[in-house]
Amino acid sequence: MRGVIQTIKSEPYIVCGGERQWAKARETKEKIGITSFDVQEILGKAQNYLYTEKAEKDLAEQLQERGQEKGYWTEEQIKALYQKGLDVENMDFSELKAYAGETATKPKKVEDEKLGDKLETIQKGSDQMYLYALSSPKVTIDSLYESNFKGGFKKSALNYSRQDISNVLKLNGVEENKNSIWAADLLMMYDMGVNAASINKLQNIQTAIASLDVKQSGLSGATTLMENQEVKYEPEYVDRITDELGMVTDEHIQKLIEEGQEVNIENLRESIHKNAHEILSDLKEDHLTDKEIAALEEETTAIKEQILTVAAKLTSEAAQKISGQMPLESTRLSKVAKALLEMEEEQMGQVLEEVELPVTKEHLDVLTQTMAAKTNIKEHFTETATLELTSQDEMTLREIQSALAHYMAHETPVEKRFGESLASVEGQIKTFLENNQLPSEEGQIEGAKALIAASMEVSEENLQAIETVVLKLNHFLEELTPVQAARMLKEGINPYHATIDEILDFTGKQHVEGLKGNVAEAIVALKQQGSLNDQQQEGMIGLYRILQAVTKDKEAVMGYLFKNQLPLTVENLQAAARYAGKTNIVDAKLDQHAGEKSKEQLQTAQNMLEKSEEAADEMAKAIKILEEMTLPVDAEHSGKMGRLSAILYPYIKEQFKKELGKFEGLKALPESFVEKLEVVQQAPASVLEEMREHHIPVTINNVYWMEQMSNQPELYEALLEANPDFQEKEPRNLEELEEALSKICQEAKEKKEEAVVKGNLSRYKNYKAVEEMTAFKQQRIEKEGFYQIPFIIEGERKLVSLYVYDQKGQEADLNENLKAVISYETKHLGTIKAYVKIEKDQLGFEIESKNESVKKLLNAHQDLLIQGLLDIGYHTQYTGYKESEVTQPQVISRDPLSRFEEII
Amino acid sequence: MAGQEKRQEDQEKKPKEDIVSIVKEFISYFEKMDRSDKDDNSIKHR
Repeated sequence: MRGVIQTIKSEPYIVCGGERQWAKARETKEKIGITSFDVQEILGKAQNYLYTEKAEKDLAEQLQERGQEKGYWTEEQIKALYQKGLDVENMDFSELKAYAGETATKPKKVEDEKLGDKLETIQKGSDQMYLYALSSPKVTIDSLYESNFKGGFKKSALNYSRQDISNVLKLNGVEENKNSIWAADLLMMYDMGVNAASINKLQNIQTAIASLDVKQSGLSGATTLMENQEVKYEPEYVDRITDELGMVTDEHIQKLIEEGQEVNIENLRESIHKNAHEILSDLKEDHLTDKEIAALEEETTAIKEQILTVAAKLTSEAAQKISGQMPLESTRLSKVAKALLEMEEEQMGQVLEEVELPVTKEHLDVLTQTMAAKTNIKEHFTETATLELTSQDEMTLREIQSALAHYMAHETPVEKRFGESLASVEGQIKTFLENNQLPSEEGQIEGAKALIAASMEVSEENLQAIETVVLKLNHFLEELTPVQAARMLKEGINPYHATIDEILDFTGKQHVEGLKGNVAEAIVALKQQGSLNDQQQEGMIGLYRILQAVTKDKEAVMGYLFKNQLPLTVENLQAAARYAGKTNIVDAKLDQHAGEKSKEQLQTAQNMLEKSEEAADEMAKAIKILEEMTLPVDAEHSGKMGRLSAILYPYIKEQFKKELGKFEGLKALPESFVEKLEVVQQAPASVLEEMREHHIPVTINNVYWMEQMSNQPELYEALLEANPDFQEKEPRNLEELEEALSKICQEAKEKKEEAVVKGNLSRYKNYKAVEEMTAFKQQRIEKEGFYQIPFIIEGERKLVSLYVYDQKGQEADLNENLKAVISYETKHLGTIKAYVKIEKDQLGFEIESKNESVKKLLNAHQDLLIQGLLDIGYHTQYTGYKESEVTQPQVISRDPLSRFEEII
Repeated sequence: MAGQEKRQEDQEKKPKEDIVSIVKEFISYFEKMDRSDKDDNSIKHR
């Protein structure tokens, strides 16, 4: 166990990047002598020798720190979110994570023909392979494959017994099972240090390899299996785990217990593949006493609970996280369930903090219940669709939950298998629809399934009715993230007691602004790429106009549609936007017109396309289909206006997705967006921490502007100068400054939207930048009390930074006491800071500068300042001059207020 | 009489409203010092 370290201490040697070089190095050393150490290599080996937990933790922390705040996501994921119509730039990071978590990975072509061979080799796996993987921060298929052919790890000369292994496991607090024994054995066999982290990692590697299937989509040599301590569980695989867990019966559990096997995911999954009949006949229940039977039943019930917990809460993200602490599939199920519950609570707690709600048991319960309902609906999509269709009144999440629970409790294994056969019938559904001249898109197939499950006829009428429901449910599942649920709670709405329609209505409002932004950006990007001709641009702008109109007056738009019983199409939306709220239009005339229109709209999209043969342009065709497509939400089926409201935003979003999807030209994200992403990914963790501290929403836009403004403080000035409409005068007080900002923000927004409509893309970008910056400044004022005040000094415009410390709980009018920090850049004296404390008309200040002579100078003439202050009515009680404490450990946060209490 | 008025005025001082003016005082002072330093330096260089 002292091998390498002793060698290093006793005789320096050359390590040239690989074990194969050792022999050569020794040879060379003789000739050349001591040259260089490859520190990284040594550190990598050293990791295996870390005995103390602290040393291990430190190392792990350092490794994690780098990965922590950066690269939450890939550009692919962001693009997927963007094309969903989400306002990616203004969404909180945790929201992005939540939405990204729902995005399934797209299958890529398996180009590597030799992949099968590689997998075979890996699955046979040599000891060397495992040990190499142990010290690699990143484990990929290729790295595993290659390391099979490396030498370097030597077996120990020492002997040890099985008992020794047990003892070592115990010493490290590791659960003893066949996998951990294998891991410990391997480590000891090669003289490597045994610690919990290594054992965990080895087991994880083993699991990751075992779960590899060459038929799996998206696999290639570069596929990452593990990163640092975590296994990169894919959503597909995790779904399989939860599905199989759902098939475990009481008998399976009892069999495991009887055989003395560990109750973990691995064993449970294996057990279901055994014949149920066999199990029933094998059980030795007759030979147990009543007491033993009762105990067994109790244990079984407990395990079933745990299974439910795991099946409900195990997402790919959670699986990855847990794998970092314990091997997911071979750890006792109770531990896994407990870990999941703790993680969920932590996550919910964070979400509550983000929306600034107190973390109480009540709030946590609402969130967990809501999320559980969502998961359940996802698992039982078809059943929920049926419920929604057949129920007369709106069902709240709570009601849906109890209906589903009732259904599940009475579900026999036979019915479960019926669910499976519904899947096998799926292929036939598509053919059936096509044969009957019914539309056969994915949405319709989902709908047909729901109808079959409800024993309803798969007719055109029923299909249309259920299509709405399916659309709603899909959007509901997409939209209801923990952050959204928390936001609802903050508005005083309990999402668990809300209907799906109400939830959609709430989330929809927030997203349309984002949609508008996306359409605008898409127009810009497509134009830049040259993928958009003038006609197409007109079409996209048309979509933008509709969005604008709908955002401005959603109620009037819907009222118009509803009153005139118009189907929900893009064309009618346009009309509604135009006429809504104008009472001088004669209704009778419109109704007549509407009658004709609805007849037309009964035609399918295909027929429409055939009609307009002149439209050779792809885009024009698409627009036409878009405009004539019908979603039948008429008075009969929708009933109340509320349903229309709920469907409005999902419908628009759907059209938008289809629209963008048609553009193969939009290969990459808009340039400006990519630039933002790059800046954000480089932002230091301290910036994010600071933002979180002050409850500034951590969104891409905010982080971007935070960085830009600190790295390029003159940017704001430059932007304003480019727009002569924005005059920033010297404000007389803070209120004036805030009003000016608000005004500029609003104006910039309006001009931005005008620019889109007029097709002037460069002006659009300019105004957008101004809008975002001012919005960001407003946020900093609100959350941090941070102001940037423009002053005209000797004809020159200068910006002064001011932090105002407003004591929480103090009434707005009571501002008799004030603390502030002023920061100012001078040409020759450098940066000067002033810490000011004011009580009524009594003032105290302390001036800070990095420079001794500056300090002296400011001190020497302070009477001028004191007189000036007196002239405006403030008596200076005390002053002080301080040299900047550069030698003391610098506070990472840029917030000077944190030092305030020390100074004054 | 004047004294009474002045006392009333003092009591009505609201720092938050005046903070911008206060900041301006500081900045003017800093600028003055900044300029005088420049002048001093230029004198020295002669």
